[in-house]
Amino acid sequence: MSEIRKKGKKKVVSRRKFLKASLIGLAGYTVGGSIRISPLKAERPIRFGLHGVCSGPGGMSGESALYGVTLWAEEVNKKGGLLGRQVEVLQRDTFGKPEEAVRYTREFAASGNIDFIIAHGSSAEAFAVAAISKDVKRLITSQNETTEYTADPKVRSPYCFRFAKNGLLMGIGFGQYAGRVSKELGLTQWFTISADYAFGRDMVNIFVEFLKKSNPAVEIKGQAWPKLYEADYTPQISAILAAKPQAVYCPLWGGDLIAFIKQSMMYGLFEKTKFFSSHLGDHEIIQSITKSIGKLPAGLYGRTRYLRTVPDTKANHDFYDAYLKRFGIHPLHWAWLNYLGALSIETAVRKVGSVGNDLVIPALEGLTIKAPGGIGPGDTITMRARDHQLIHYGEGTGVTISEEPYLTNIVMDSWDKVVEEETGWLKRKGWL
Amino acid sequence: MNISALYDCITSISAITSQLTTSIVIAMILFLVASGLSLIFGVLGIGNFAHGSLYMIGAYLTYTVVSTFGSFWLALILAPIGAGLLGIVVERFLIKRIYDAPHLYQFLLTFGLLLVLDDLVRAIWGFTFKSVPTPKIFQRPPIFFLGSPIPFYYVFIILTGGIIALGLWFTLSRTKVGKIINAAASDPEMIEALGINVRLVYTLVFTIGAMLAGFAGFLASPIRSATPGMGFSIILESFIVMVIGGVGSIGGALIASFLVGLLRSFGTIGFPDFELGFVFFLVIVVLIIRPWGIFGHPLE
Repeated sequence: MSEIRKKGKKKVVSRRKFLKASLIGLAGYTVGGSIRISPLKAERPIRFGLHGVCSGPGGMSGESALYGVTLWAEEVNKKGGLLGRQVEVLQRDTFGKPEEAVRYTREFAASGNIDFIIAHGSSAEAFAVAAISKDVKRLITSQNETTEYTADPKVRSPYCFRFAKNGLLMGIGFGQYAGRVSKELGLTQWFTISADYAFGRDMVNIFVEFLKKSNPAVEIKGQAWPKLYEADYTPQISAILAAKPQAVYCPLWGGDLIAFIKQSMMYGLFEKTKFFSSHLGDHEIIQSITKSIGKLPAGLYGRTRYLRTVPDTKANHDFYDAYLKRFGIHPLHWAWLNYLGALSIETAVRKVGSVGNDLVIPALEGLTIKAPGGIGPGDTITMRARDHQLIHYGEGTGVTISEEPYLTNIVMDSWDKVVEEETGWLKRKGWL
Repeated sequence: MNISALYDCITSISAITSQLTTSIVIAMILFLVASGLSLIFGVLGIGNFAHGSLYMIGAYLTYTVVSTFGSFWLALILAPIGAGLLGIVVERFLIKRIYDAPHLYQFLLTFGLLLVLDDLVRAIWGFTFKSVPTPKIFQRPPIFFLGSPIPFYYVFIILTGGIIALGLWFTLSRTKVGKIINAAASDPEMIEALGINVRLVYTLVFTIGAMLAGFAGFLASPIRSATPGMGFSIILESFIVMVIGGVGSIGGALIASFLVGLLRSFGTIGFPDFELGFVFFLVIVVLIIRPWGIFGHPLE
């Protein structure tokens, strides 16, 4: 018997009555809950679930990923949505931890109300996500899956699509450029500094391979491997100074690159050695450096991550200007890549008339669309079917100056030559 | 492994000077955080896992003061004071409840506090890192000493850290306040019996520790930027320094910080793949040979 005390009085409720009342209540709730008052069945929005590093030195990648997809979503919603449904975007912070990226991937896949997953975290996270994508069997795009591990057919996931500037392609283009410059300027003594994780190691290995291929006289005097998101590069900078190299190669990115350049400026490193950075040519990165130390050092060699005039096409200008107007900041390459990913998914969805991942995946393979940053025929980009890698995006190398446009004398990569070298590299590995 | 590069370094006056100054710079910032941690542990018996968060708060307060008022020198005063005030609040409302609690509870509370402060920082300052501009007075070519370039700002760090270390040593060993703090560490009941408010002494010690950490955050912010979670990596190194130097020993914290700095700066040259591993290896050696630390005392 259950008892309810009410101001000193005992009121006894029989078990039979209690159970009867509960069952009636439960039945009422169940029936009432299933009645739809509205005659129209409202479909829920199409949801894009983003996850990746959103805080700390890598945090700017998370912010720009969200902004890139948000810009696309707003454009689509203004045009009436996708398949008549509004698009929503949500984001989760993995704090740069692969295990968190895996957790969110599983959560998104299991939730039943996330249609497309975007894993925009570091390549360490992307690699972990690619591994479990075969388990959850969901389409996942990645803007930072840039290590070469996933070019291996044994590792590659049929569910993942790399809307990313692939490390191999970057390393080939930059290595070839640096090789030419090293011959012209007699730069034979090199030092490398890179974060100690898969992407960091891959980038150095590939760059050095193609640098030496272009200029066999090159010698690597020393290497430094600080941990990812390292705050203080003082020991590495003094190690570089001690080695007295003629040139330094540095694929650090985001906040790490800004911190490294800032600390190097204090030591006057760039007056003593030439500097080659894979990730310098982002307007926001350049602005952050300028704000921190007064001006961007001139004479540094940097890749064009994402710039308004590279390529100099209307589609590129339109995206850049729309982003700047909407968010008040210049788009980083992560914003642009995530925008491309969302745009490509939209095209594939419209083509098949469904958000079903099993239908969208084949539609994405080999897809060619006109897009900002595209330099294929008709200013297009292509999602290569063979390995789900984005190709035909504009990429080159320039030299910095201390005022706008900051990167000049840009030499664009030749896609034919880069792909030729890439094919040879993959064949040597037995991956093609 | 790059032994030849290490050999080239130690046989070059300019290279060895460069690495030694790097070691001292790393040591100074680490010492400021670790000395506060060691002081708190030595006197209060609390292993404050959230101590690194006070360093983080110092860095963020520096960013805020510089962004708002445009003055780095104002941040020199306000950042440690801000960290100190937070220290008072934390000690009065949280830490005082666990003085007699088992170490596990202390760890749980302070670790929980670390997570709360990290989230608070994200909520107030956002998720991405904040860069503090290098003060204009330090934006000049480095000075050269024995052929080695030393950034002006690093000279400032070394001098400031040295002054603080001397001040701390003087206060703790030569002043009445220092004697009371030392006595509170040895026998709090006795000094309470002598009419000294032990609770106030504990709050004072915690505040001093917090201000030291906040000051380290201020010093580090122009070179390291302010990021959520930055307290976690320095607290790990601070515990290492405390273990190596000895709990409650300021001199030990200074020597241990310098050892860690040396291992990191020379390790980067000779063993770039294992630089951090050497630091932990040193901890293992100390724990085996002298578990109470270089300047610590065996527990009774």
